[in-house]
Amino acid sequence: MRADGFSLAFCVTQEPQAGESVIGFFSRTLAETPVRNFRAALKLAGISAETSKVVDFGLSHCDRAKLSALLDVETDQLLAMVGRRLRPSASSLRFNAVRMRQFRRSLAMRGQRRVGVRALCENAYHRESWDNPLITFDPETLDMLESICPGCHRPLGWRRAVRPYFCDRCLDERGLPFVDLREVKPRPYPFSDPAIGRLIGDLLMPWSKQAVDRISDSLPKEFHRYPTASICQVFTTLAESIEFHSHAPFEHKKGPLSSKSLETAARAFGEGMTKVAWTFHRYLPSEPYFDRAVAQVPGFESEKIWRSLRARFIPKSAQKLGSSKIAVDPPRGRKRYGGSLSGAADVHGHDDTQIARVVQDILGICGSDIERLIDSGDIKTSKDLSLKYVLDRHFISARSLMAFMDLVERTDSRVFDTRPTPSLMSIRQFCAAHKSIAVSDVMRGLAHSRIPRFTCRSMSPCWQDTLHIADEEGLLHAIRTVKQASKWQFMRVGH
Amino acid sequence: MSGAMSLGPLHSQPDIERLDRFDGIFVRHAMVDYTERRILDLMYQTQATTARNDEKRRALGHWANKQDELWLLPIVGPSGSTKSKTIQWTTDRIYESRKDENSLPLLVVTLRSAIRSTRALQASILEAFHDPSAGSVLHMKDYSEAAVNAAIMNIARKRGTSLVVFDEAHNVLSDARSDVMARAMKSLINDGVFSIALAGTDDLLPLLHHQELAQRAKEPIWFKPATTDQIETCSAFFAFVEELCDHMLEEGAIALPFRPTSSKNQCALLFDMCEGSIGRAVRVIRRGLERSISEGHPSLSWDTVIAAHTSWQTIRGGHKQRFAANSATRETLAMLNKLQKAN
Repeated sequence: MRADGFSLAFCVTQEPQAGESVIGFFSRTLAETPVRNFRAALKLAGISAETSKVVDFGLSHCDRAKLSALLDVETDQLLAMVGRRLRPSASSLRFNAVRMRQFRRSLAMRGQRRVGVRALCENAYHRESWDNPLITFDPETLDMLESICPGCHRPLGWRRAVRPYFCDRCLDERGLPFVDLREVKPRPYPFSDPAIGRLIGDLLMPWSKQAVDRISDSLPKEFHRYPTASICQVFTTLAESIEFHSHAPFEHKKGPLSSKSLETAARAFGEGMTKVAWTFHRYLPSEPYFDRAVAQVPGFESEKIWRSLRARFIPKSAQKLGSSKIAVDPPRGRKRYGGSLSGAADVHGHDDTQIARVVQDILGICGSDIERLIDSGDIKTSKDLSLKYVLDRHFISARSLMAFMDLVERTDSRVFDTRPTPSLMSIRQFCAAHKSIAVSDVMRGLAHSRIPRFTCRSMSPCWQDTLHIADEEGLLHAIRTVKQASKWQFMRVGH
Repeated sequence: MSGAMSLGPLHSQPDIERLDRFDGIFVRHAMVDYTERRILDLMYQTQATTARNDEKRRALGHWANKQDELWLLPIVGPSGSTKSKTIQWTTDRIYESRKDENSLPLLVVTLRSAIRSTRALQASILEAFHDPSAGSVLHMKDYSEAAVNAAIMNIARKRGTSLVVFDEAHNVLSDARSDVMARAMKSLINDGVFSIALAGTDDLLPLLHHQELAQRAKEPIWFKPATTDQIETCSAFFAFVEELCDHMLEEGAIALPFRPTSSKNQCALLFDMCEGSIGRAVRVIRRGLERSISEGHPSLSWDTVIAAHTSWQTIRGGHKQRFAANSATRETLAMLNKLQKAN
């Protein structure tokens, strides 16, 4: 109750529905009140934050309480809608809660809205899964999501609070919305197998009790001991990994998942945990990528299912040996790298598969591209030499590797053959080896010389860890030259 | 000794309680029952119509644009004619009999003179409902009268409100054009939000001159004061005063009986003082009681009432005016003679 005697909550309020998004709930509540403008409603509650903050409920503690009071719901209920609390009874896939990169942000965060026509007919509220940029269908009905108003032919959005089945742009002469999206003819999503489609849909809506029941019926028993929300999260991550396997995972590929990726992931789940682990292993190049995939969903590292999958992904025996690579069973499905690499020679005691994987890991590109590189001679000519030096480097970028191999070819092995164990050296390692040289001098040496340098992706954001050199002596000479030049320059100026 | 010198502060608790007891007295006169019956009838009719409208809306969805219209009930009378008191009493009775504590079957909205536009009227309704959006309606950028009416209807349906009484309705015509207010009220009635009862003085009548509003208006309830040419109304006036005095004694507002109607002269003076209005009679007696309490008397005397009224008249009229036994008007005395003969 406010000081002026007014109850802060709207007289007409709504109950949050299972799987409903916060912005959808906010909009649905406001649609029944005189306030149709989100900003005005926030202002009414004394909140100065942007409307986009409501999407992931990323408001301050105080503002959350204010908004909850205005909507007459518990703060915990809203937090549960975005997966910030009540994790054991997690009800969504947390796409809006995850701090994703720009391209994976919730569509609502970008002001976009998509609706499932039949789902709205059954129950009129905005599902959180509709804001998931990875899917283009409604998990409940397996219909395509509609994002264009049939009346104005413009994208749906969150311009004003309207009931979930109205276009937010089209208003009649009285100022009331009138284009009913439920009258749009539903379009089914093209799944090859309806049963698989249903399983995928169920795995994408863990908030539905019916879906949870169906999942427990259709998945092997070994999954039963894990929370459904965790299984669904793993499924999404796996589908994402499959979709993006031809790119550097989770970085470059935009857009939704294809039905093929989803079906592959769903089939893996149908065959059990080992198959899921194997599929992860097959599509994620190495352990760090697996960890990064898991890290996309904060808090899920501690989930049992992830720990179990990680144990299968990297067996303890392999972990003890200090190697991140494992001896896996020969793939039962199609061969990943095709036949081009099958005839590759044994290089430094590593077999073809391992070499292929290492090359794939290093380049961060798919097998077909490796074949293309071999055909063009980029790898073939200096394969054994380059692999010798970069075999234990998993994060070197494709561009850096190409520069490295060019260097190998152009320097007639002089750089490498003069030292017993030549290798790439990070700037941090260089500075540690030459403590008398200031970092600023190193930077100047790099800036004023043409020493080949390589950018290796690292977990550390510092340039000293990312930037590598192969020619330590060359850099030392460059630093000495630069220092000498500056000394002479100083003397000239002083004179 | 001047009256002002003899007045002392009301400091003791029992004295204040005596005034409270007086304020708690409600004399149920003939107009109360009539008004209550009319209001209840209107509420039942409104509920039936809104149920029909809701059913139509459920069946046709948003295509059911046109609702069956509701009604307007004017409650007109001069100031002090117990309109507000009667409405308040009726409201209390309805609230006492409601099953759900959160429901507001009848809502009283006191209109202020600052209400000059449709959105201001809507804001005052929302304010009466204690909805936080009341303030924002006034400054809304994408304002839509229909949208706000729809929102008010949602609140009304949730609270089960079928009738809204606009008390002091004449206030809105002090500044605003009557056609603006008439249109605003008509849209509420036409949208099937709720029926409206307009309570105010004769000044609100221009609202009803608009054809669209007049079409939906029911027969008005007139709270007219008693006039000397209507013996029945005068008889009701004196009966009311006697009942009030009885109640005062019963409730403990006074220690000894007080009969202002014991003599013909007193009756004539009281009638003239109150101009035949029972609401004014209550106020005249209350002023006397207040003065009596401040002077430390346990009861009330006619002289105290006269003194208090004279003092009040001084403020009102700007000059001292003493009531004497022979100051009653000829018409009043004639009316009393007729009344005496009739009894």
